[in-house]
Amino acid sequence: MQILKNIAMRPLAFCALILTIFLGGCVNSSVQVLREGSTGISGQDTVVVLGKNLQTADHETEIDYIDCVGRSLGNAKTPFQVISQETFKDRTFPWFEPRFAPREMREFSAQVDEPLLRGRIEELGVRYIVWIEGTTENTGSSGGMTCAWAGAGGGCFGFVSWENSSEYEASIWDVRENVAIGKISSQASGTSFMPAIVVPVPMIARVQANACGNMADQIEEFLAG
Amino acid sequence: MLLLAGCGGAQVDMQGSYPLPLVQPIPVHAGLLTDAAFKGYAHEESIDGYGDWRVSFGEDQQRMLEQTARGLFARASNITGMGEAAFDADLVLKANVVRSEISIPQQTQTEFFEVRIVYRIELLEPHGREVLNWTVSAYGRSDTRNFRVLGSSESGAALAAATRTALRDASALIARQLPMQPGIQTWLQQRR
Repeated sequence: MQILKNIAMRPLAFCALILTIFLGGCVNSSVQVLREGSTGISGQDTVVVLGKNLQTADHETEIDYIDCVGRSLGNAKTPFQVISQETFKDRTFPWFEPRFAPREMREFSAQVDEPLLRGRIEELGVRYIVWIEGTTENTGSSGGMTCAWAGAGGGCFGFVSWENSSEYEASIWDVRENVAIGKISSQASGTSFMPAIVVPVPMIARVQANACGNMADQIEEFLAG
Repeated sequence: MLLLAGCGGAQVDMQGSYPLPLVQPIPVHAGLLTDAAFKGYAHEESIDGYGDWRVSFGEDQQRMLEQTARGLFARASNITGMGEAAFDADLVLKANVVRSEISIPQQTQTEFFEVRIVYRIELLEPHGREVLNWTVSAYGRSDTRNFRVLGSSESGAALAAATRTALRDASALIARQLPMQPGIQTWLQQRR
């Protein structure tokens, strides 16, 4: 059974205006969850978050995004454990290196017939692998700023804005049952501003951090079943 | 890892560790034979308009190969030469760098630093008879967007990451594919 759930998070215009002026840029985000199988997790289970970075991809998912999702999951008040990408790849080397990493569940099923790999995954207690792909891009900028300095001092005058957009997808595999159990997509976009009257005041839209937080929350909810 | 970078180019001295491959060991004692050129290897290149680039990875590739051999064979040890020095081993694994290449993002019009290292891997009986003569072409890359930091070490850090990925790729290739090479399979069958 497939359940498609849409969750849209749109800040109220007034709040956005206030936040824009006093704290930072606005971020709009949405998350889609596609469930293809049942989940459940216990305190004995471990989750690993991996970047789906192939040798042929045009872009790689940012290392700090992968780490952020892993850390957020690990810090959450959840009963399961989270192992870092680096530790998992070292302990299962060379099976998850870019050249040999399984791209689909059926490739993983074939690989895991290797008893040494199966044994190591069991030893690590890994129940779920979360593969993440996607990036955050700068999608445009506008405005201008002029800075001048003289003997007595100086300053800047102008207004610059730029927009970032992120799109990430997490594919979740149950490696105990050898099945792909769902996908979570996270989109976020935001505009950052930097007005300057003498001193530039950056108001940054934390697009990637927002996408990370949303993704981690949804993964946690998804795994809980 | 020591990094030095200027407006163009970078100097990188690799000092990393490498994991033990998780593969079924070949049931032999292998002697690992590498020379000073291998242990002191550095790729040096001057790229027009983009400065001088140097990445020293001789010590790292020696550590990588030692770890690979430890996982790949039932027993592995370093040896100093062929003949008497190798008689304790069943097979000698000899490794040389055939060539190395680096590409910087400005050359490829991508976000990536790329590193290619081609190795000649030989398996020899202690008396010198060749069992396997195999070329391994390893590749690694790193996305510069992961290394955008204030300061001047961005290029060096990205190049180091690409080199490390290439060395891991070499280890992965040797660990996964050496046991499938016809030369070693035939030799093992004859040994039974």
